[in-house]
Amino acid sequence: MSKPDACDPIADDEIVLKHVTERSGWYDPSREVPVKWEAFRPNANDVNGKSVWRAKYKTADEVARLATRFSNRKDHRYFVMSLRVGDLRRIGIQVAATPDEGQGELGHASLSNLNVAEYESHQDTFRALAERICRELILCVSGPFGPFGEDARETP
Amino acid sequence: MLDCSSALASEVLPFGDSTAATEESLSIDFSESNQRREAWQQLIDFKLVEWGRDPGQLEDVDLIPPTQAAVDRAVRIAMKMQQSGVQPPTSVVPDGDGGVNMERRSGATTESIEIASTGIAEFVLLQNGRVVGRRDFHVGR
Repeated sequence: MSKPDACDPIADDEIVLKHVTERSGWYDPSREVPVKWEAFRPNANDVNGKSVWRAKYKTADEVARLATRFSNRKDHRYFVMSLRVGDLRRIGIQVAATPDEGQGELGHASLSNLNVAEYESHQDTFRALAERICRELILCVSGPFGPFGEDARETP
Repeated sequence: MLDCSSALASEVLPFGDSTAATEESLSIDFSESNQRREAWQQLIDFKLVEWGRDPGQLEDVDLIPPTQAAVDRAVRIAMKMQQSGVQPPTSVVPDGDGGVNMERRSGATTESIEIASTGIAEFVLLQNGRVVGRRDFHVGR
């Protein structure tokens, strides 16, 4: 029997979680807008959009542990942002369940149109969208979590 | 309405004083000038040089650390801006894709210098989070 893969459609009232490393400087509570738009800027690896995790399947602490597990660095601390799916969709961001087949973790999703091709084609529009997320849509930021070191292999 | 033409003119350095020039503002006192110089120096010594020395410290599943070309260009730009006595940025962060972004926010206006992984730099001007102008940035090349 196959494992559940959390392919169920994502409802507008769901919350998704997105991590940022403390060292990135993308989150600083002392700034007027604490989260930087770069947290949503896709890089060359983000072909299918920015990764997020569904809060109905993962806690913020678990998201930070997963980030450590998937990273080569085990000494990072992480902040985790909460965003409401309906808010993201309202400004044109597509949110889709994208099961994490490689790692077998439940609750993976993608902000599908925040992908590298979209960014490279429409930089100014993209920047405005990312700025809007940072200014208006982040419900809360929790953390820092970690560092977890090799303990990140185990979720509590 | 903001007059973008001067901010986007290639010979004008960004991060200048955002207030209109007055007799008072024309005579920036010595201590303020020193504070600006010191802020730029801290940025160079404790952030950019550190990133260049060990870019892997920033590596994450979501973040490709700045390349040496991007860091080198950022240092040259910072030194030029420091020499020119302009205000220091309000943030300097990796762009997540091998580059470095320097930014100064003042009210609704954001001035941003975006240095790509190749070391090529652009100046971007935003009003209320919307891009109103973009040009190549040649300082520090």
